[in-house]
Amino acid sequence: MATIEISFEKLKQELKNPALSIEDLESILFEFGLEIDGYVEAEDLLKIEVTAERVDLLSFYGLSRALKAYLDVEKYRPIEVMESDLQVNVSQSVVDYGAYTMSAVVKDLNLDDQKIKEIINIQEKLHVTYGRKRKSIAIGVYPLDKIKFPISFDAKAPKDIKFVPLGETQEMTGLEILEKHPTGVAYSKLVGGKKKLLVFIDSNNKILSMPPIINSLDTGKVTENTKEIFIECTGQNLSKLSYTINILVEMFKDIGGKVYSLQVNYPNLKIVSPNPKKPTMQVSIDYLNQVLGTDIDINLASELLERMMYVSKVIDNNKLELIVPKFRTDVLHDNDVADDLARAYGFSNIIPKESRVVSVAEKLEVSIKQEQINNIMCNMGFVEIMPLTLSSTKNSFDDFLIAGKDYVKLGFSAESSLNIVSNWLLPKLLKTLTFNQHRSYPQKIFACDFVVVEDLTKDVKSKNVLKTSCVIADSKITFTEISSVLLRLVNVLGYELKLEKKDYNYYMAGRSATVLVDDKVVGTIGELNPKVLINYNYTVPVCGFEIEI
Amino acid sequence: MKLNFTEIDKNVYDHIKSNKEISFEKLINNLEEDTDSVRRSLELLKDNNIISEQIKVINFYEISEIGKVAVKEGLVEKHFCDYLKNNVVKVSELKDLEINNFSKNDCSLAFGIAKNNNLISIEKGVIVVKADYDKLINKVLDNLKNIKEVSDQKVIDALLKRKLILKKQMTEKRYTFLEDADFEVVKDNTLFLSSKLLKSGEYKDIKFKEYEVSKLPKPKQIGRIHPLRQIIYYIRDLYLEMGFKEMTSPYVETSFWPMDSMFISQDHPMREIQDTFYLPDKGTLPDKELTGKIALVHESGGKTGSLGHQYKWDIEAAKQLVLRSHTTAATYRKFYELTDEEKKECKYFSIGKVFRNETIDSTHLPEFHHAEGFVIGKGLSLAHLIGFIKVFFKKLGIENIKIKPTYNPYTEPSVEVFAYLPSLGKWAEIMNSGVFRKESLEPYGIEGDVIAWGIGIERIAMLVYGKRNIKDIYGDECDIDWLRSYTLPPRKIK
Repeated sequence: MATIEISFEKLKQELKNPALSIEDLESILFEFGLEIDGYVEAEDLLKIEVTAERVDLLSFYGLSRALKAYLDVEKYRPIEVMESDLQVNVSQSVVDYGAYTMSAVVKDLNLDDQKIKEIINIQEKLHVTYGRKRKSIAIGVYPLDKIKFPISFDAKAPKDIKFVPLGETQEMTGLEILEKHPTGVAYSKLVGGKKKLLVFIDSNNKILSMPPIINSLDTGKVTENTKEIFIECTGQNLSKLSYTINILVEMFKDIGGKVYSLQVNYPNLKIVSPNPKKPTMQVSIDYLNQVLGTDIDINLASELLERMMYVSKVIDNNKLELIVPKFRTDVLHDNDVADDLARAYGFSNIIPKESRVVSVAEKLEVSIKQEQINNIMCNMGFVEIMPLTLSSTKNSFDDFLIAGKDYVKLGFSAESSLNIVSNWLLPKLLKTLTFNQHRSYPQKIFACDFVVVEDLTKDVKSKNVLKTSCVIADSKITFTEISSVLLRLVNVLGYELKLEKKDYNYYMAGRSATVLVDDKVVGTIGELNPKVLINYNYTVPVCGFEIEI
Repeated sequence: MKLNFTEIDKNVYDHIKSNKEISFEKLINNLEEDTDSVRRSLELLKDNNIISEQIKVINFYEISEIGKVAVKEGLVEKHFCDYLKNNVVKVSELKDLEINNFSKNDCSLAFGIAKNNNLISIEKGVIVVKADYDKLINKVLDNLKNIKEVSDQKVIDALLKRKLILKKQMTEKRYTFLEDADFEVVKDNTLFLSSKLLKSGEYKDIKFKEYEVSKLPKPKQIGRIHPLRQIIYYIRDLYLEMGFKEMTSPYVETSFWPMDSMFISQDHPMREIQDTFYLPDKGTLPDKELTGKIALVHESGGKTGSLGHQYKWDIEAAKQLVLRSHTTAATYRKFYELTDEEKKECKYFSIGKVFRNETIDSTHLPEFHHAEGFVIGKGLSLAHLIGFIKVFFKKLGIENIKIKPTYNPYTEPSVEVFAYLPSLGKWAEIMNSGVFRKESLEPYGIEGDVIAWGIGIERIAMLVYGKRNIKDIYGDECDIDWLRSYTLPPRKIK
């Protein structure tokens, strides 16, 4: 999800509807599948949340293009790309590197401040979202008049690359840029482990840029005087690059430019970029209606799909031929067309249907077991606690005076106090007690929930295990009281209980035991060691047990 | 009406009245009665509003292990200043300074402390120790030794920061006298009927005291299931009533189940570390036939007619272990084991925990509960999905809903459901759902069409119980008093 900031006044102009209110727009966008994130009237600042699949909507021009079609203000018609004789030559070293490029030239531009801002914005938005912070796509835009064609796209050793990067006055090597330049440092991990770096070089042997890191100062910025530009994007996936260049040129067309293609020459392949071909697909109206559960007439469907920017033609009474907008990265399958059809038709206009899929309800065994244990424990006067499954080695092990084992560690955790997945519940119950010291005693609580225990024989190296733990905290507690609770629980569930005296660090010496159910070891019981209580900063005696039953 | 007091009740009453306020410990020490009887008397006095009970959490400070060593062997700044008194040291030499039993860290630590406490000054780059340093240091030491009597918060904070003392907590119950009671002291046997009196027949001759029966006592402490569990049971019942079978899956998953199977491309932002808990290890994948089909569907759409994501699918990335961030993993594990019959028609649901790598605040916990259900059937469509949603919410008591198109990687079309909640006076997003994409079904050989929806349990619980902080509803910090006393939620949400 990304948010774009646009002018509501300008949008109303584009939609040729000066009377449009923000509430009207909100319900239009709702039907279309977007939400308003906020509107500051004084600054004419409208924030709109764009869902992840619609990268084509990440600019003012992209959004108004879609809405103009959707509201039938102006039909969308695919861009006509003109041919140029300009060339980009890609060297074998780039192919070995695993990189590709797509490019375009735009002429007849008439830029102003606002348009230049949009050009910068769309690059940033695409870098962050579709480009995964430049990991899969990096874009460069250059005034054409400073470049001499043909351009070569090359990969060179960092020490052999020398140019003045943006934000500097002195020439630096590729290596220096990665180590010292702020942008270089920020993006250096994108080229980590590579022996060579990518560069665009023009025929005057001038370095234009070092993607995906930084552009050269010499090639200059796009200004109000710029009439013609060269666009390139680089990355590892040709299909993503193709979508990206199409999103970009579509916007340049919207701001008044004329789009020209170039020839990109790979060692074994020549491509025209952007590809002038218009992708078509055939869909069956029966299929679309089946996905939606509707009965939309083929002619209406054709009209509605035009509102979603397709060029649609009815071929026969079942088939539509569509030209798919080339900037729509999300149209992969007929279901995507069905979704567009539904948006144009209006989700709220679809008549709900009742289905008759018959099946017999069934609870899981483990759910039944959990429910039984919950019932028995509640009947014995215990209040259920639902603790977090995540925990820390300190709370789960160190404070309980044991070395942790058979547990699952987390990698990076945003909440630094949580670094493991719990494999037992007793520490969690003690933690809840500490948050309730001001409440009346005795406090009798239990938890019957899943924890995660390491198990290297499983495909996920661990398994969910249902454990039951219970504690009593009071000014006076006895081992007899807690063991009588355990005995009743085990007996009611239909098993036999045995306790074998054994010392555990977290219990008081001589006051703890191993729990056996039907002669199988399932857990421990005892009075908590005062040291454990003090570690938790808790000053009321506690006894408890934990079993896996 | 007069209250009936036993002898002990009267003693406790008199004692609290004469003291005006007293702690539980003192009361027990002063009265030579057994503790349980005193407790019972206290309950009686409390119930009749003659006394009030306060439970106080008292903070106090205790000398730490580090503090004890400092008392025994002297504070670090003392050793430092003693050394400076006899040696000329420049600031620049500080990092190479060697003092007996000092580590390098101790030197810079001692320098910092000495400077902050004005024990030293720097003159032309040379560290000069002040004449009265010993006196100042002894004052710190005195405070440390008598920490229980120190009340100056600045002194306490300074010692805490140096870990010389520890903050501790204890609770204390105190009783305050509120008002005089109108009572008479009665003998035990005119109050309580006993087996002895029944057996001996003495009961016939006793005039038992009357009780004030209309006065309500404190409610009984009972065992309860958790308020959130109530909601889980409600939602589970809802699915069961609609004929769904329950399914489950482990918390720890290979990315294969909750990501690759769901047609989420391997560079999708949903996979980023900010959202998902990654574990340091890798797991193993199901059979090659299935992983091969998943690869194909990602790369070129497989047999679905889809373009696919048009990239090279990496089997290693699919092995990465994660904590599941949604319960759809259970759906795919179920798809994998469905019988041929079920692949044409069945209904399943799951309710369980999911994990998101987020920091904790009033609306976010790094884990919460999801309910999710799917239906496989021939010809199921968006209209059927909307039909199911309407029935589901009607059962929950919510009739006023709006639906909005949205995006999910594995469903298309996808629907977000907003419910109007009169109690909040606004629309709230409450469910996500969709018609499964062919790309997310074909590898599993699912022949029917599939619709599915998911709902967050905590969200519903917060609405039902009127709680604003998610920590009140779920987790380690719940208030036991509320867990004991919450009112059973109505079957229908308001």
